[in-house]
Amino acid sequence: MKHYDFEISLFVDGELAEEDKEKLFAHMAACKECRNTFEEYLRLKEKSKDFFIQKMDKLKNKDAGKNKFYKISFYASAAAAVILIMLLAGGKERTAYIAKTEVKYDTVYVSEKSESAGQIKKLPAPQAVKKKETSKQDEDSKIIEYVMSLPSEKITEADLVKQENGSM
Amino acid sequence: MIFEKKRSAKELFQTYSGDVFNYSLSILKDYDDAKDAVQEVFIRFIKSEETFRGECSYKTWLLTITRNYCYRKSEGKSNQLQKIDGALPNAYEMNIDSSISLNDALAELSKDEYEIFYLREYAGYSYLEIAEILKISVDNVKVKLYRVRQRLRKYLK
Ligand SMILES: [Zn+2]
Repeated sequence: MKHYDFEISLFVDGELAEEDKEKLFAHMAACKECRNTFEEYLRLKEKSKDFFIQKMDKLKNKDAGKNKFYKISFYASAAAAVILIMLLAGGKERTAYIAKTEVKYDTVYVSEKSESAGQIKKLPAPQAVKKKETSKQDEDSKIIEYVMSLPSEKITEADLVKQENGSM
Repeated sequence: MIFEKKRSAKELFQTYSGDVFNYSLSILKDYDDAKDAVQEVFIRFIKSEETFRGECSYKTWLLTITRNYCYRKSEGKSNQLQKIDGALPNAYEMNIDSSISLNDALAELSKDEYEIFYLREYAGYSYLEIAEILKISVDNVKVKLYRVRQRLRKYLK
């Protein structure tokens, strides 16, 4: 019996011609093997997409892995994040999102430990970013609050190299 | 032949700079290089706009420029530097199939396989778009994607 792996590959991509669908469905109704192939291709598709998303996200955030600083970005994404905080604790990245659509504002680095706890420089209030809406966990807003309370300054690349301390 | 009304570079930038950036990033694997690539691609686009004959869409034309630019750039780069991660042992070749996760297998795809799978599964482009970008036939796109899937499905748990 001829199996339909090739057609199933087209089908999961939404690229199988209408006139071929009928034949495929009729076969799949009777063929367990092809139903299995279909299920596998769907799973493969989903996992592959996850793989690429993870990989691309990692490439987009590669700077965050380089130093022991919190990187705070005020973002503009139609879909997602205004504030993206990379918390680097023991090489483990943590991301907190606040959902809201705004324009990209700025990126600052905040040192993890505050030597000069005396002078706290507040981040300038970004104009474009209005009242933030915490998307979900209270925990995230606590983290943001904490990070915001740390003394912060813009750190140049040279500073980062100098101060870098046991990168991941 | 696809007929598309003339669109300004600004408009195209707003619509497709994300696509150009992501495709660049997938090839160059470096954030800053990919950012530069977006600028370079649009500069090249503006310079060559007069020669655009509408044989493909603006989108696939931009992505073709992106591809050409990024491959030339990454070739130049690998000539300059020794590839550091190339020195790592190839786990995919060395191990037995059953011990390899799907993610490992995906990471070890050949450059061509990786690219076409990226264009389909991440970027979500149609077969026709992929064919135009890669300069191959739609039938060839079908076969290549099918072969990658057949090879990868055995790594599903
Ligand atoms: Zn069958």
